[in-house]
Amino acid sequence: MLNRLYIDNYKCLVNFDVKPDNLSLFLGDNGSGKSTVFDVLSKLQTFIGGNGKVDQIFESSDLCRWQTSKIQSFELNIESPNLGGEFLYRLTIEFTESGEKNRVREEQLLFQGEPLFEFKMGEIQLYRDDRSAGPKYPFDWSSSGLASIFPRNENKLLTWFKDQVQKMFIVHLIPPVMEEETGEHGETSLLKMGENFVSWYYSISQDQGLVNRLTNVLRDVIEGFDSFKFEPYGKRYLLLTRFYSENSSNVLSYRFSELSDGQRMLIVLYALLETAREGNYIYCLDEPENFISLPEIQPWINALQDVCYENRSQAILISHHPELIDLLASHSFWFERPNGLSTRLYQLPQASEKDLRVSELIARRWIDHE
Amino acid sequence: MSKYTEIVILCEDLQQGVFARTFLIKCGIIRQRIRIVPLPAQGGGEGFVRKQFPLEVQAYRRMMNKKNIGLVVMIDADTRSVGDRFSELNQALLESGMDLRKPDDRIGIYVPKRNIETWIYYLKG
Repeated sequence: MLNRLYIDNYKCLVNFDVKPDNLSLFLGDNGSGKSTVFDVLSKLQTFIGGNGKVDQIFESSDLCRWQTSKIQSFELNIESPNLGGEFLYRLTIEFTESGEKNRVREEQLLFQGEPLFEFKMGEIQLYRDDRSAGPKYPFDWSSSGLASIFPRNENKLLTWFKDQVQKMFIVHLIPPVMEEETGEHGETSLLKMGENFVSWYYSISQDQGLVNRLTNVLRDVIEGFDSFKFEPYGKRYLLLTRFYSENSSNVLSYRFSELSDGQRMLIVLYALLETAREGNYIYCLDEPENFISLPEIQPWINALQDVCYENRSQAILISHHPELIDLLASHSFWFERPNGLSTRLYQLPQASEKDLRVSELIARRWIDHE
Repeated sequence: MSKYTEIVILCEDLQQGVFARTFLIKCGIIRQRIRIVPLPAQGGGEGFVRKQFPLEVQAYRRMMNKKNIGLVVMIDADTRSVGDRFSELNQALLESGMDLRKPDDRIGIYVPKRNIETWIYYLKG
């Protein structure tokens, strides 16, 4: 579970500190910095996953425009209930005046306050799980040192952290860009807009229990839905969705791309939900209610809430939808940029039955957080 | 947070809302600063206005010292007198344990008699 995220000198996020709960809702005006938080998580995930160098992931144009500092800092606190402790990951990037040859100034991973990994001044110091000092060696300043560490028997803690970071789903789903076929290989992570959903689903569909659960729930959610089928298509597979027809004894097959935006959205949302039941996933969902009809929003949120409260996974949502806002107002963080500068976070006051709905107060910009 | 709702219109139906909104825009209020309280399907009727009135007064009073706001209430007289409608709204406040409208509250109550169509007919000449 992501206990805390600290960001300094990234766009509108300056000395920004947020401590999400099992289920949290980010609220605020357009441009208040909500999605920027997700952008940072996505960049950290890419960096720690070793999928790019500093210059490819962190750009000098992302430095806060009204600050002169060339130092950008991030901290992630991730708790592991199974390991009984909390990890703290720190990353400091130093940008040069020219915007080239930016480098890692410091990268550090601690568990329960004790170091597992340190990368400073171009030198890595490793520590074993028993906290004894391991090897020390020079490393390229332009990449994540943590990403370069291979799993070993003596670094299981470090490996758990790296795996956990890759179990974050940071998405803003857009059904029209979702492809109808797999890639040539299955994919274990879902792209930001869900473009590769079919490939990702192909990978997770190896788990028959998950497929059965998803099929059953979709039969309740989508009128006439029967099942999925992968059909060979050259070296790839097409995802077919099969529906019962009242006028025919046969099951009718439709390509995934032939479904409506809302139907595709429901399928992806419930696939994420069923994956969440497997445990220890962190979902960062930007406007998940887009495209789906009003009666479908609350049942999905309620199911997500159940999963999160059972501590199986964590969800952080961004939404402007009244239904979602009024349901989750008590779990929300209000984002605001006083005078158009740095984002500040506020808690919404507790509302009573004599108050207007939070969504109505937001619509009026009458949020009273002081 | 500067572009907030300045005038809230609590009314019985969309027709009243359009009338009040147009009037306020003519008075110089910026269109984006006016908000009509969402109406129930089929319109709210006078029952909706009476029920919602205490909530709106409470929300107004919480915010009145922080923002430049006002509340416009429209309720048809129908077959009742204007005084009856004022009494009903006062009663709704008392039943909610709230103070009655004070002279410095920026809460305007408009009671078209018999109803808004008469006003539209009159203004169209």
